[in-house]
Amino acid sequence: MHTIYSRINNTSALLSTCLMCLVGAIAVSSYFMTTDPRGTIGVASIQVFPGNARRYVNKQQDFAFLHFNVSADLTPLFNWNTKQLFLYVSAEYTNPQGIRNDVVIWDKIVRRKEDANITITSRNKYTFRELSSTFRNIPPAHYSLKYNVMPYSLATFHSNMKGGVLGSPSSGRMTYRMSYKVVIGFLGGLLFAGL
Amino acid sequence: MFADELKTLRRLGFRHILLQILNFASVLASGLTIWKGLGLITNSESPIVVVLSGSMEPAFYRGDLLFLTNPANEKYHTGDITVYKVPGADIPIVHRVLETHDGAKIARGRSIVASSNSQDQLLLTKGDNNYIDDIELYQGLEWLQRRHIIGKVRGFLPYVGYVTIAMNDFPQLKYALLGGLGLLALIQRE
Repeated sequence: MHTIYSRINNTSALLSTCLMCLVGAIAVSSYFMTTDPRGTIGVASIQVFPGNARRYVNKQQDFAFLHFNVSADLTPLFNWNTKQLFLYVSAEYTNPQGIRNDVVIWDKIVRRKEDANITITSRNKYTFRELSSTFRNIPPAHYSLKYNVMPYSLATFHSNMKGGVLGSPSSGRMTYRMSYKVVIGFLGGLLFAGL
Repeated sequence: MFADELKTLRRLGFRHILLQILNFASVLASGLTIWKGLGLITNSESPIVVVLSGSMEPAFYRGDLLFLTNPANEKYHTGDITVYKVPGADIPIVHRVLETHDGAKIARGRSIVASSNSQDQLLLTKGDNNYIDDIELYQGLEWLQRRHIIGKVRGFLPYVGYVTIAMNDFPQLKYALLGGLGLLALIQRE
């Protein structure tokens, strides 16, 4: 009854129960702390250049290069159960075959509340390619800034896990047409200038 | 050393040992039932996984325990953290979805065509802590498909799974733990 073994057993059981309750309470509390942060994204330029595909040296593929600026205040997303924010810019478009594409072109991990007020001018971090290997006849893409909250403990509820589109539709979602002809013209111009 | 224990064993008799073995077996069986039941509910072959590498730091560290679901009628989106296993790889990988192409499938000859099944998706993933995407990890595949995905991360407990990593790194520990548990079950009196 009062052996060391039973004392250790009781103490550790109590401690782990308390810890579990605390973790559960934190997880549940973060479910109620919902905020609606604001942000905008503006696309400065889009250019498409042909290049070699990554795996097949002889295969040509189009790569899109994007310059954009992002400003967002994500401080309200930081509460006691926020470990980090995953902020990303994605391009969404449907190609003529009806395939719906969603491509992340840039991301950033925010770990502190002090760094959560974001103003960034950048270009795409990841290659932006089309499945059919060319951006010819591709309708305009939809660029949006999204976030993903990573909590410290236990539950990552869906609403918490996946953030929505930041900003109002007029300012946050910008649509640009990727003009293949313009780019070809631009390349041609460069070529002539070189000659 | 074990003289006392042996003596108690002899005193308790054969039926008691049988009973303890039965108890032990029922504990094992209920564990298996819970695991398989969870798998059925979440539609995932392995609803709980342990992070084995640092490729998702600082989101997940080695030893974090992840809870997965894989609803059959839900598509994956960019930003989701998925666990996938490609044929030829022996361990599942936890990485974030970088590209989704809904309604696309790979036809013969590796060409990509539109699919009539709206559930078909081509996915590309990347670890937060890696510089480039995962194509090199796909063992010759160019895209992940729905059937390669084990599930999407819905919740996690930090560091709890470190025991499994220790057991993976030192297999002796696994047998010692199992043997110790079995012995305890045998000689415990109540």
